[in-house]
Amino acid sequence: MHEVALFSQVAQARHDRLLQTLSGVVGAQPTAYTHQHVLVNKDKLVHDLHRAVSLQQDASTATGPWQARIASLPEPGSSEAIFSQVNELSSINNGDYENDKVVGHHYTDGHRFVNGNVIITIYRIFATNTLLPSTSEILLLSPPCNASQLGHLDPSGAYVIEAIVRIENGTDLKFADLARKELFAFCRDYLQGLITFQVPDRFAMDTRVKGA
Amino acid sequence: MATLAFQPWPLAAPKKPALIDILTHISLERGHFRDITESSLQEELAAADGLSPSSSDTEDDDKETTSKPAAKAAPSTRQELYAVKNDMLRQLDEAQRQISDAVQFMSLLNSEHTPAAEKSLSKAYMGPVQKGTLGTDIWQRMDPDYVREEQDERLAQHVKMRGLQESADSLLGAAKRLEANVKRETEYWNQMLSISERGWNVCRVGGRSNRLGVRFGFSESAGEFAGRSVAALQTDSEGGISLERGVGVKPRGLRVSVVRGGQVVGRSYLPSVADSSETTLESRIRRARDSIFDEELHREMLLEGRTMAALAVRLKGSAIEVRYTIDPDTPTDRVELDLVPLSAETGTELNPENPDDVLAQALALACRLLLTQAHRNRLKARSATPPPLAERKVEKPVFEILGPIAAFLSHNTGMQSINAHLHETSTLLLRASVKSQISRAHLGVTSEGGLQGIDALVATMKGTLISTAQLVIDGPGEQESVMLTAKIETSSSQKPAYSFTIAGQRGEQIVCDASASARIAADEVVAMLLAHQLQSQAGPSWVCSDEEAVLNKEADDRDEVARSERVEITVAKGVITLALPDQTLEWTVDGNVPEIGFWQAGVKHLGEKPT
Repeated sequence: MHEVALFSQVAQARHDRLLQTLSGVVGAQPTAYTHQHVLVNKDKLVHDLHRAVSLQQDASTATGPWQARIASLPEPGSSEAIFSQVNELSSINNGDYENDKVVGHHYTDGHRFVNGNVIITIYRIFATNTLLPSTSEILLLSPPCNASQLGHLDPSGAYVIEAIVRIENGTDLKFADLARKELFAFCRDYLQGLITFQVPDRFAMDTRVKGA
Repeated sequence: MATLAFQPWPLAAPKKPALIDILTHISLERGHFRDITESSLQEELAAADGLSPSSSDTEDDDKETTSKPAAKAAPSTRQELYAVKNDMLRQLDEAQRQISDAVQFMSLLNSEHTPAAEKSLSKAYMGPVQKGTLGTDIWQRMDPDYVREEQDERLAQHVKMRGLQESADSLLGAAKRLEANVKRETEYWNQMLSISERGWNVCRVGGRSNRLGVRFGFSESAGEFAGRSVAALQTDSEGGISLERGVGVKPRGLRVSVVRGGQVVGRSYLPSVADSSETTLESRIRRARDSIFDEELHREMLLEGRTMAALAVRLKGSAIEVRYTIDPDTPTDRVELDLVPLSAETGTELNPENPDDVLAQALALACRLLLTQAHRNRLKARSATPPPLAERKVEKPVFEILGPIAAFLSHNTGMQSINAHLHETSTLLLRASVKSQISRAHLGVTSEGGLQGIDALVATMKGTLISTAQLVIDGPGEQESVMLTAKIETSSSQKPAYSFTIAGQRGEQIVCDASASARIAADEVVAMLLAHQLQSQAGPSWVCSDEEAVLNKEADDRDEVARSERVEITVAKGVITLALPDQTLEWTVDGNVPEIGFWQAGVKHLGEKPT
């Protein structure tokens, strides 16, 4: 499966107003989207294992099974949107990831809107203040952290906005075009003035790249 | 130098030479105009007439004499040359402007009398001013006329007062208009508040913000109803608000009628509507919303009804007829759902005593509930994560409203028939001195999966309706009782639509799909149960067949009465028959019954079981 994606950001002060406006535009209430993410390195790709959780002050619980999302590097050549191949599994065996190195552990908390085929997710990232274990087994089996142990990754409290259209077979030009058209029609034209979507620079924070 | 005589301006405008001729004449005589100044002309006059030049002339003379040597001194440097040149040009410009001003002014003055003067009027200069707008009058010096001046003064005062009065009047008029505007706006906003405070969504219509409208439709309606959900609000001169034309004018409502034997015996509630202009705006909007809801409901049921012809749903005009069951027993019993225009005549009140009214009202409420549930499902589907884009045909799902209703009706009929039959059987058994108990079949709201309230109700309606009735027959003496279970299942989505399952004690089941055959099956099972009971009471070597209600006794060599005997029990059409080898006993509900009871007869013949 392929995904066409656009990104943006919104400050904390504007977040509530943005949610209200988007609800009016889409015609439906936002659905809550709170997930725990464990990133493991496997076969040279980063597998994002995530599950739905309910974060409480003292006793968070997991409300869904572990799922996996494996995103390849974005395909080059598209300057207007990020076009990448993504594989999603709705359930995983913990045993598959036993010996793989854990490279990240964070929580995302936000809301999701769906308009036709466009999925818009508005979320914030929370980081844990514990060290990363070397294997994923412990993390996969234990319950999620409590809200009191989490801190903002971005201290300003800004939210990230993702707009995604998914295509079953990305090599089919017809659907790739259709997806792009739908994404741009909604994000660039309809929401113009509300959110300014852009293609983020992947290499902006990467210290290995020269001249970035 | 020749003397130049100035003639006084002739009053009778004789033909005088053209100005250009005069100018030419002067320039020929005296040279260029540069050298002619007022003082030099005065000097000539003085020299000619012996008048002394005026005091101002002497000053001018002085200036002239002082300026002359200055003018005569040639500029020494180039800078001075340029400065002098600029000065000269400036003065020339100035002179030209003044001259053209004078020419325009004089032409304008003359234009009233002399049409030829128009030629010297330049459009750019005096364009907007038309000819003849400047007038001249020759006044002789007059003594001040005090009377006239006083009159003038009074006239002026009157005119001023009239002016003031007019301005006062116009201010008053403006104030009145403003007051009317304010009243109108207050009325308008009061009404607007009255509807928006009740929760109606007031929004802009027409793209640009020129009009307000109220949204009274539903966000999940499809097709034509999606476009009809907003009504613009029009104001009239008093500030009152009315819905735009065509909205809420002809309200319609759904009416459910129960028809038995061709007669309408029950009806659901319809409000009888008073004249539309008398009700408040808010109630008109509410009526429009109810009307559009019922219209959408009717439309969806029509669409669904077209696919349900197999389940005995007929469309007659705009009314949907749902028969009670597919059985041909009761062909004229049906429920009609119709969209009826609301008016004072078609309003119906409910009679709570009439069970058919209650049934009709319950069905109407159920339909509406199912439509709101369908809307909710559509919203949920819309908000769910969509599947990735692929070559997939999107099917438009049809709402499930008529299906559950039809299922309920046929289930109800099935339950009633089974219950009636069990009741009859019980009465019959009692006539044969066999005691029995019935527990009737009924339909309850199942709350599986933690659903509550409306969710549980709708889930029950949409799922398979299951009810169970039981008949417990007490055995003779202290024998255990045996049980007959009749289960009725009706499903709105699966095929076969409904089925009856009759099961006896031993667990064998008979499945039927019509109530008539179910009754026959029930009778058979009752007979078999009686046979089994009898067998347990009977003497040795009586064997009960497993499939028929027959007791056989094998022929025994040792016995004197060496013949096989057969006892058959039949229950059918309201008659219990015990067919013994030597006699046949029958028990019916209405007719005469043998004096002996069923158990006694059986036991007497079959012999006591050895204890």
